[in-house]
Amino acid sequence: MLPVTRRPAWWLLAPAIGLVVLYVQQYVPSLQIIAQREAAVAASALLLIFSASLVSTTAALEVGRDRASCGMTEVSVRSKIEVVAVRLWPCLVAGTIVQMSGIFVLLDKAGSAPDRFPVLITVGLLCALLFHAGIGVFLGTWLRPRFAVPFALALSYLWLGFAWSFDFVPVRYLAGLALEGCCSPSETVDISAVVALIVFSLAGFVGLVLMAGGVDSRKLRPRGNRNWLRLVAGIATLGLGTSLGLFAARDVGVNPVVARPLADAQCSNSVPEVCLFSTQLARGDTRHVYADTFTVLAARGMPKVTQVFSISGDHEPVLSAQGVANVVAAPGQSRSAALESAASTFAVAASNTECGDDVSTDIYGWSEVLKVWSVQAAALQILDSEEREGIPDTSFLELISEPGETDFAQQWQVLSGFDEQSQNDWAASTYRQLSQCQVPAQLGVGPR
Amino acid sequence: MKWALNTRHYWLIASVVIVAGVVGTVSGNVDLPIPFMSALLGTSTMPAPVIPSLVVAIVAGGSIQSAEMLWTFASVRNVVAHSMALAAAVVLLVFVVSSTTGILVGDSAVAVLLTRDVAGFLVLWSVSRALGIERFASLVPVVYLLIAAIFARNSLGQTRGWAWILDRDLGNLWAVYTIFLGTLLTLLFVLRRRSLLGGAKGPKV
Repeated sequence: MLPVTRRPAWWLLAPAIGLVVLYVQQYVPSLQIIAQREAAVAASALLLIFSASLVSTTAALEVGRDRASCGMTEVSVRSKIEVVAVRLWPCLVAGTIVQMSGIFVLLDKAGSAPDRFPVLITVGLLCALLFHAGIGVFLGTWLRPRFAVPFALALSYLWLGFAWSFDFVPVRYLAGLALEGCCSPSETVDISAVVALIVFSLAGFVGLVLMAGGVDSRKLRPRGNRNWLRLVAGIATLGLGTSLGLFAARDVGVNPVVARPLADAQCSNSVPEVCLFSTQLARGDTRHVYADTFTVLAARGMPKVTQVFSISGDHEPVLSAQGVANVVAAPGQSRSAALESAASTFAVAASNTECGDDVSTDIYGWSEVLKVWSVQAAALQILDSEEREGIPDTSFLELISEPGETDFAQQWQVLSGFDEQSQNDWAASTYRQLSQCQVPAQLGVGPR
Repeated sequence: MKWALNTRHYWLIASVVIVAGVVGTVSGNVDLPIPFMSALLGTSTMPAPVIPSLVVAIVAGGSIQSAEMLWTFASVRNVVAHSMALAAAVVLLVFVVSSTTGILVGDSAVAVLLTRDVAGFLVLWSVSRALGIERFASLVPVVYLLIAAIFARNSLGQTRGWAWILDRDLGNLWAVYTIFLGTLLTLLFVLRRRSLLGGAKGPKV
């Protein structure tokens, strides 16, 4: 067995792990992955830049060593597969250790979670390392190490970095980095994206190793029919893997996610009924806050809500005609955050109304005023004084109040001076008007 | 002598410079998204000419060093000086090709950016050699680009100065200082003919 100093994979392992930890600590916020193992492991797709770079570079170095030391008339007594395996295992093991280190750091950051460890995503990410090992093997065999090693690193980076931004979305899933877009409390991974990654990576590895077999005569072009055959077989395998991968990912969207079935949600016994997923409940149950908020707002004249859930999907309305509200609920959110999420439902639903280009943009300003009012009205009855600190947040109203146009911050001041019944009447009529694309009238100064 | 010079693969270097110069100039105003910094803090990009510049640096650096292996240590000529003169010629050729292409496509501004990037990468390569990283000096520019593309953004989402390669601003002082100090170290390396941090005389073979 070669000593550690002769295996670049081992002495590059520690710096690679160090960079992984540094990257996770600096760039991956806990909020994105809190209480979600699936999201934590998917976020580790970004760390492929470290593990895959390590694998491709060290593979090119290892194979390049064979290329440089092989004599003109030397014949290997071991099969080509055996030689490749002996050269590659430290690279692949080191890459796996780096990737798994990143996953463990992210899981630690995510904390305890109700969902299971996503084995399939992990397998997919580790398979991606095989493709990069293939890049290293091919370049290390074809070119001198002086060219092969930097090109292997550059190619790995370019593949990971730029496949991610292809307009043709299925290509993104062949590189694996786009898995980073998964997942959220209401969304789970789209298995097709991972299958595409696995199929492409395995076929790509086999294809690149076959191609390397065809160019191992230290010439830029293959010599002999057998070598040409290997090269063609390698290219064909690579092409087949690409086609299968693209076919597998043909229906995957920009984010590799599918909505969790509502049947998985846990519903409360309250009125309205509030259904949240186990991940959303992992850091505290805020379902009663949602229920109380809608009850309070119904008593103040807003439409009655019968059911509340939190699911993803653009096709799901924020508030349906049947009184079903779709809210945002993140694990670990505070009571005040839950209240704001619930109370802003009416304003968001009103501002989502498609009004065409003819309607004044003031409609969005008024929906913001309605939102501030809803949050204030619910907070006064549900939250205690400490929890109400910073509520309502009127900074956005000041931001959207342009000189010479409607001063929404001032309109809010006027509205908050009204008595309770007047405020209720204003809110109910404003919601109705906004839902019909009508701009509410400006408020007069003084109590009504 | 002629044989030794031919080992530098002049034609390979010239071909790569011409192709990269044309591609880099034509795509000069394109910005490529960088996922490692974009995912969480908004979109980050790098100028497209960075990629052809990197290819030029790898090919030129590798070819120049490969040729040095064939020169004897006892040569009375300063082999390193020859190598660095060729690297400077590569930078000049990039500028000429890019300027010419720029005139043809009606955009001459990219030539300076492309030349800065090639010069910057080659300076990193030559400094690596000056500091004793002989065999994989061409790896250093790639590692720099990688680290810049991963760690360049601060918590405010701004690009840090040291990642000048991602910055289109030609007045970026980090780039100017890097190229200036790198050239200075390279000149010392040329005069000394061996690594500035000690080591054997002449390049390792």
